[in-house]
Amino acid sequence: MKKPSQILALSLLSTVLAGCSWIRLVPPQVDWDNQWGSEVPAIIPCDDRQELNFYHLFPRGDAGFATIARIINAFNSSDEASDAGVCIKGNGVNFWDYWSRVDNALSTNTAPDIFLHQLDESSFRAKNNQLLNLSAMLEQDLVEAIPTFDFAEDFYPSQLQTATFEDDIYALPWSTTVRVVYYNKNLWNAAGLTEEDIPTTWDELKNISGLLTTFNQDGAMVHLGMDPYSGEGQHIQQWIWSGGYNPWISQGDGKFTPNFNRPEIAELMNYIDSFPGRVDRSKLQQFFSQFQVTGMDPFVSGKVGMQISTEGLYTTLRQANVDFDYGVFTLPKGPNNQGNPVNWSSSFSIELFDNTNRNNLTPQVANLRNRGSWLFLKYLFSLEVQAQFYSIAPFLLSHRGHLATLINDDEILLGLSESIQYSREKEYVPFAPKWHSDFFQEMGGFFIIDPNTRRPATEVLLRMQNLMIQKKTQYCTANVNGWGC
Amino acid sequence: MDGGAKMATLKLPVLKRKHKEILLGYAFASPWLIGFFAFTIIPLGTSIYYSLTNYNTLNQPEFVGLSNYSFLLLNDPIFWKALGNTIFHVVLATPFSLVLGILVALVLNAPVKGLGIWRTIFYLPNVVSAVAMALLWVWLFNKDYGLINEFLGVFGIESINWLGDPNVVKISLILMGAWGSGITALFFLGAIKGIPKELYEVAAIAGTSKTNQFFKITLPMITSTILFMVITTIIGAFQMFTLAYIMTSGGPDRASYYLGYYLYDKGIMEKQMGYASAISWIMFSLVLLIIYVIFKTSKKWVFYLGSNS
Repeated sequence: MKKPSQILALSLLSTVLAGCSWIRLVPPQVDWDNQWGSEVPAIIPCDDRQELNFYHLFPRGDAGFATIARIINAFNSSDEASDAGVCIKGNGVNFWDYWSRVDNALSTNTAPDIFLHQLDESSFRAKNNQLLNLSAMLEQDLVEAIPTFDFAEDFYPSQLQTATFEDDIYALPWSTTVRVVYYNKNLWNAAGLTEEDIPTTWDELKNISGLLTTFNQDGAMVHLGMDPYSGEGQHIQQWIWSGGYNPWISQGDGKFTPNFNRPEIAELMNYIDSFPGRVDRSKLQQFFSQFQVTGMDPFVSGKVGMQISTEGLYTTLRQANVDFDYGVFTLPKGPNNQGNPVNWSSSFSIELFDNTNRNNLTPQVANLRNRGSWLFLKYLFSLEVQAQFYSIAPFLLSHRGHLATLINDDEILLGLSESIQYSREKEYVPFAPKWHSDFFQEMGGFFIIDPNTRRPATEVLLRMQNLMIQKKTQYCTANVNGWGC
Repeated sequence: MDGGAKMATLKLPVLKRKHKEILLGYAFASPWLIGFFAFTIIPLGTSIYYSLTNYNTLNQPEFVGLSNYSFLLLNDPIFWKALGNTIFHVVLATPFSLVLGILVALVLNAPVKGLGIWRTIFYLPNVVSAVAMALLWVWLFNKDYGLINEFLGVFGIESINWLGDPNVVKISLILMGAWGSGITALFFLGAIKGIPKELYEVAAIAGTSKTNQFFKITLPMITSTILFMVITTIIGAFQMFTLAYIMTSGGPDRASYYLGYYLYDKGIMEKQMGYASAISWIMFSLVLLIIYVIFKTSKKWVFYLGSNS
């Protein structure tokens, strides 16, 4: 039996935690909790309609569960759903368990009808006949004069391109993760910089970084202008793209040839490494160590002039209620004013399972389920539902028309949305689907502080090149007629 | 019904008592047997089959024979790197863990006040989750502000980059094993408690020093427990994954990239379940070989109380 004092302490802690408000990325235009109440609504039963399984990221107990339950209930009680003979059963899974859960379901005959996944891997699932052809569904809508999407208008081209397999679209982008440069306006002003000085090239970025990096009398770093390789800048492919290069040569149909081992890329890596804050790596590590120990994001501390990050940092900054002004700008072009202002977008997609590939279903039932999933997909992208999702989602959603409507004049969100047009997804390489993680592993040798054991850029790139060739050989040896072989 | 007619009766075979007992035994053991077959034997068999296939988890496995094994052993430098790291870990972590466990057990066997509290303190780290432990040790190992380097600094020792130096990172993860020495110590403590006290009394009368008593009495008498701990520690060391995944991501420069990590990357991240299964069977075979050798040599150094050796 617990002591009364322990019970009281636990109760007080629970009350305090429940009372903490959570910060939404996009401030909602409507107070949905007030409009419908914050209680979790009872789930409307499906009766004799076809029950479609929807995997999402808001399990019961999550702050967003009530909203998702309302969204699903509203669809289930609509005439359209009733006429279509379908209803939705939501299945919320917490973020960290979600990915293995959905992959396991896809591996067996229990795949959900509608689910989120990683956009850049949608071609793998399309190739393996898991996904419903959305271009065909759109075509059918147009023939039957049913209100439907305008893919080109509704979504960003680079995301649609990633969702395309053999000229048809098999997934729709759900989120839009965009990487921008956050800058500390207070530190900028102290260095005599204004918004007029926002860099558009790497050379300008490097110069400003130098102006903002300061040391104390003992030589320890007090302020860091920018470490381009920290935060979301650690994703090297982003720098390669913005420098105007591509680590892969695509021959189409999933065939890729690694293109890492180029002297221009090594030169580029060394150029980024020459940013003022990185010259003395042990001092840089010492600077970052203080945040590692406390768990604080370095930019939130107010000691970093610029940092590459996603919309997640904006939420963190508001939660921390920082006492400095900040802004964002697009990642600039590569050195010598070449290249593109590219940023890596690691977005989620929303996908529909093709029920004609599900065992034990008649073609009629499979078709009914597919049409029902498609109907629900259109419903999810409606303005009202997107607005509700913004009240619970920690990321920007991908429908660009609604995005413009919902973010109003929020300066940071406008800056983030401005950069979406420059986002690109990484290539899905069949024999190395996590090549970016492999690259990050190999870059570990380049990031070693001790210059005696550190690997030069040329060696790292050669190792990466050889690793990709080895992976292709291994994959195609076991998979002679495999995709991309 | 005709009262005069005799009804045909079905004569059931009469089970002998012995057969009844056998059936009853199986009935009681059936829950475990069912679980063993369902969750061990069948997955083992499936995994052997998958290791001979190309299987991306979405389509049916495609038989490729020994292709996965031959590529692993002949053409995969990452496999050999990961295996080398794992062997390094096993060779150093096993004796370190055992020696530490014995030392702690000797300390906990001492007749001091508050021994129960000390035993609890030594065992507490074993009930902490591996993830929480890993995050804590990332902090302790911090090169610039970690407590370990702070402590070394008191003696004038320069800061060590525990997790950022490829020459040191594996040692750091082995040293972390000290944190979990409680359970090893518990086993050895039980073994030490089982040593007949008369042996020490006779040794004391004969004037044998404490050190000699340890090497001549304590150590030989706990060799059976040492054998058990050697085997279980080697098995655990081969499965090294969680700490590297959380603390170092296999780096720096793949210095802490173990076989378990490679298996995870191939099976889960790259969806090459056939290749990953082949890795697991090579690991299994290696562990089996090592344990076989240990068992074979154990006759020479393991003493069982009551045996004729």
